[in-house]
Amino acid sequence: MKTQEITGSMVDAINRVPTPDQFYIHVLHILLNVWRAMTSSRKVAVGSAIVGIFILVGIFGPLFMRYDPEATSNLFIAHPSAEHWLGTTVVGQDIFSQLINGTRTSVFWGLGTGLLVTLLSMLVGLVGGYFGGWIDDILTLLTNVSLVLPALPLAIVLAAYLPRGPLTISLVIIFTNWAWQARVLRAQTLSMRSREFVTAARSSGEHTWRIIFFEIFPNEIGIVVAGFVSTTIYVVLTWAALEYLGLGDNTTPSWGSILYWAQQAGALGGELWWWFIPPGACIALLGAGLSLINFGIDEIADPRLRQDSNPKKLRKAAA
Amino acid sequence: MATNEPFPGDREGRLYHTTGSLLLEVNNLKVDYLAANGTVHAVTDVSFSLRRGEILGLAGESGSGKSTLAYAITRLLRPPAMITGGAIRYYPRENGEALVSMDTIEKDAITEDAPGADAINRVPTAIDGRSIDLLRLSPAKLRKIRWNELAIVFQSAMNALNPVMSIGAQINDVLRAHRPSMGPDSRKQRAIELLQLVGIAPDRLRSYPHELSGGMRQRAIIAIALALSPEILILDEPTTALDVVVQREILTEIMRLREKLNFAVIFITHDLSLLLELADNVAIMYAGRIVEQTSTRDMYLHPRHPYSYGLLNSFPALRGPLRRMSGIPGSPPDLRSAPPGCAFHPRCPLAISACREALPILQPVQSEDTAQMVACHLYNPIYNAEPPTQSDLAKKYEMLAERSAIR
Amino acid sequence: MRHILRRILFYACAVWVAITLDFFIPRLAPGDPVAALVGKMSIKGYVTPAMQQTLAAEFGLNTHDSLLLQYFKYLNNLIHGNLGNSIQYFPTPVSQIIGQDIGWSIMLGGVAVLISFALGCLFGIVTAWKRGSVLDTVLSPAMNFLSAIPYFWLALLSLFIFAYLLNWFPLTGGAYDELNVSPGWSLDYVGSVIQYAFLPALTLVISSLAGWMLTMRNSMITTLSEDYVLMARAKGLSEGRVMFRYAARNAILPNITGFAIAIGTIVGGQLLTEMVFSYPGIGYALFQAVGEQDYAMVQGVFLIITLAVLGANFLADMLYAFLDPRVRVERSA
Repeated sequence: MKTQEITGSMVDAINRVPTPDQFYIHVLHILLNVWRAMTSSRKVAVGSAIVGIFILVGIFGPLFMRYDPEATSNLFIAHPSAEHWLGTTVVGQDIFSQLINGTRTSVFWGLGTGLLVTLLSMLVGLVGGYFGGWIDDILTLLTNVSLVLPALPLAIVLAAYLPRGPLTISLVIIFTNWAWQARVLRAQTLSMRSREFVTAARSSGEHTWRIIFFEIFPNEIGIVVAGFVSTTIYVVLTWAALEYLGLGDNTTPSWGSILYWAQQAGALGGELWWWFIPPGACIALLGAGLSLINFGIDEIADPRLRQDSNPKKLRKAAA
Repeated sequence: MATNEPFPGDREGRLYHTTGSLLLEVNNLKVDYLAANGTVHAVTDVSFSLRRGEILGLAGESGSGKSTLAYAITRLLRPPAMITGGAIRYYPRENGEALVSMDTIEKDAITEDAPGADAINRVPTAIDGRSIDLLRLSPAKLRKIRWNELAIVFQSAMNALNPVMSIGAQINDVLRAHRPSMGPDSRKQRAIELLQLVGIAPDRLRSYPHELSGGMRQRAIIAIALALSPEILILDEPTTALDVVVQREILTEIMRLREKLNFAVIFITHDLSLLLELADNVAIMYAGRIVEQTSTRDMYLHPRHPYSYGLLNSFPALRGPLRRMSGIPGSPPDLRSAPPGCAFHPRCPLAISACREALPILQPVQSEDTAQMVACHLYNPIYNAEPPTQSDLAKKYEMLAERSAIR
Repeated sequence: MRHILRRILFYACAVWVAITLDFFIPRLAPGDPVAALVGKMSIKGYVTPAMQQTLAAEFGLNTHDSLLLQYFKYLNNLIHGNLGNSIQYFPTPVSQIIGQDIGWSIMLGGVAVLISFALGCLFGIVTAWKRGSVLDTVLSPAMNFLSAIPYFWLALLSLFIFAYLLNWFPLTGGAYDELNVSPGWSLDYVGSVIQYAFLPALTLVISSLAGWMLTMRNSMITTLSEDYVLMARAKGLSEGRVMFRYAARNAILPNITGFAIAIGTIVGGQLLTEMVFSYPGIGYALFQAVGEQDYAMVQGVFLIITLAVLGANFLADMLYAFLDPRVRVERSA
């Protein structure tokens, strides 16, 4: 072996900083594991299917709308019929079309906002957990204060004063909900930081931001994904709640705004069940789908929670 | 090991307790773990007896079944573990000081000793031969026996103590559950007594586990274990989690208490050297079976089973000529499908053809002392005319060491 | 001791942040708030210049003062307990209205959270202890399902079914039947209060029960595999004692944190509940105030809600420190 080659291979061995290709392969591995996990647990599979359906409806749904959701007609408050599958509103708009139209807003703004919340909490959690010291102290203080202030009242007050629209609601939700995940990630990062692979990376001169995102973060992906799912559930529900309270832009269609108009028309106290039940059901279903994924992830992460596969006689016999 | 080395366990004034009355008898115990990918036979056909005041050591590698055996005796096994066969007989004290009166135990759990029973090493039993089958006790009766007669000291004291209760409260718990006649003052007195017994200051009564050092926690566990003056104390690797200095302290403590209170001890460990010093008798377990059972003296002077020999040779003597160490190559078998015949034969340097086919039974060695029992075909005249001597064993293991060195 | 001091300092900081937020948020709204207010009030009746002046002064909307000066005037007012006058119910002071409403919120929320927490934890303990039994196999998935239903939809549905269809409970809002019953310790009054609070409380309990139960169950399952539980069994203690004093006592600790947050929501005013059922609590007051652009009310209510939440959280922190002795030791991370 030539000296050059030996040195080269030694350098390679020491150099642990992943190249972009290696990083992508790493990510691909993770995604493959995720897929395996998804299909192995029944809960996750069902939950993912539900969420998948909603996403599809959000993307392709408007192609199947029979009516323009905004178009009024003379058919007021009609019961569901062959013409209007979910009946009409008080000004004759087709509810089914509105529902489909609203799906796009609710699902995508919901997922998008959930993603942003996760990203923000990741940033705060990772940075605070890794650097420690005064940076961590300040970030922790911010996190704790944000945790302790009541989220929904604050969101309502903010949404009330800021200009109306989905962007406002999104920002307001992000502002009031990033803290929980940030705290979880910080705790996890703290424990990771003292592990040996981080010390090894630092002593080999790896850049700090690379350590944070390429060494520590891949180990926390499980928690981040679980957090993303939980957050998204909460985002979807809060979004609908804010819209329902009339704090959104009432002209942008979403499930919550349908409920708002139903409330305004007094559908809730009366017989117009076809107006407010479907949007609520959609929210419930999406929430249920996400919850299932969450429970599935819980079980995958902690094997003790998995369904007991023992035959009954075993349980009876073991005293 | 040279047989003219004096047995290090022969300390000044060491007493061997091998003549007390019969206390516990385990007969053909079987424990299985029912798993999705196969049933694991963790303990198979284990039989031994324990006398009052005796210290029995249970040694073996990880996975040999020793902890499972201990948990089975105390019936603390959790699913998917199941006791699938055998009996465990307990002989309570037959004098006026018996803490558990036989009347409180239901008749159907009592088994009379069958006259002419054929267990080889049966020593005259308690006076009228009445014993209790621990495996057939109802949960309520079992609860009475627990801690009163049979106490267990877990491996990690930190995990065995309730983190949100003070140690005084945890001692108190036991007293309240089993001694309803004691009032709060006398319970407190007893708790202080117990702490002093193990060398913990009484003001620690209200301390929480996380406020104590590792050694103190282990002592606290021992204090709790001795609260009701049990007859049998099971120690499950009591010192593995401690450093050697504390280890020595704790063990000395236990021995001292044993001298004072005269309870029997089942000492489970992988550290054979510890047992040689402390135990009266030792049983070596391999793959869920007992492969050798004898007094520690005999074990030290002439280990019969090749596995025991290998174990003893795994740690060097303090003095003596330089030797090449070999250890025992290979690893313990998968207990779901143990090899036919003797479970040790794939690793045994003295295996003969019979070892592959027939399962050896624990039998006394056909020579001087009937107390040494081995489960090995080499000592069975049917399969092997000349039982190996100590130098035979030594030579074979040397060859093993040479071979592994070259590789 | 140090632990308590640290917590006090922290909450003091949080209070300051809340007060400051409360000051700034209304000033985020674009445009001239006074003009908007006057516009709204003109619909109801003529607005005198004197009233306009009062309005401007009330909210520190006198643009002659610098922001900092307005801030300190605001703080000064707060210390004197002056939260301004409501615009909707001019000139009733905000603090008076809040005083009336907060009682109802606390009663409704308090009862609901306590019942829900107690039941949820109990179910969690029992289903974990008897894991795989009939009770567990039925209850756990049912709870899973319940927890996924969005709260306000559940509320709407129950209002629709029980109040509208079945007529068991009143459809109009209120805390009691104001037409027929007057406040006092009479059976009628208490009965009326219960009747009006029952449905909102029921929906609150149902929606939060699953959360308590599932986290308790998970925590309990993990705790049951700990060595100290095994040792407790080995000690021959009764099943009940092992289950509660050794297992549940440790398993419940994560839920205590949740309980703290839940207590916060009590005084946060169960906004959605009060909205759907028109229950005159502090959440409903906030919502109405926002709708009517009653800025003084909004500020006042938000502040009170936040302070109450902080106070509740502080108490819960102390409770946790009492229950888990390990927390009292000073920790650095």
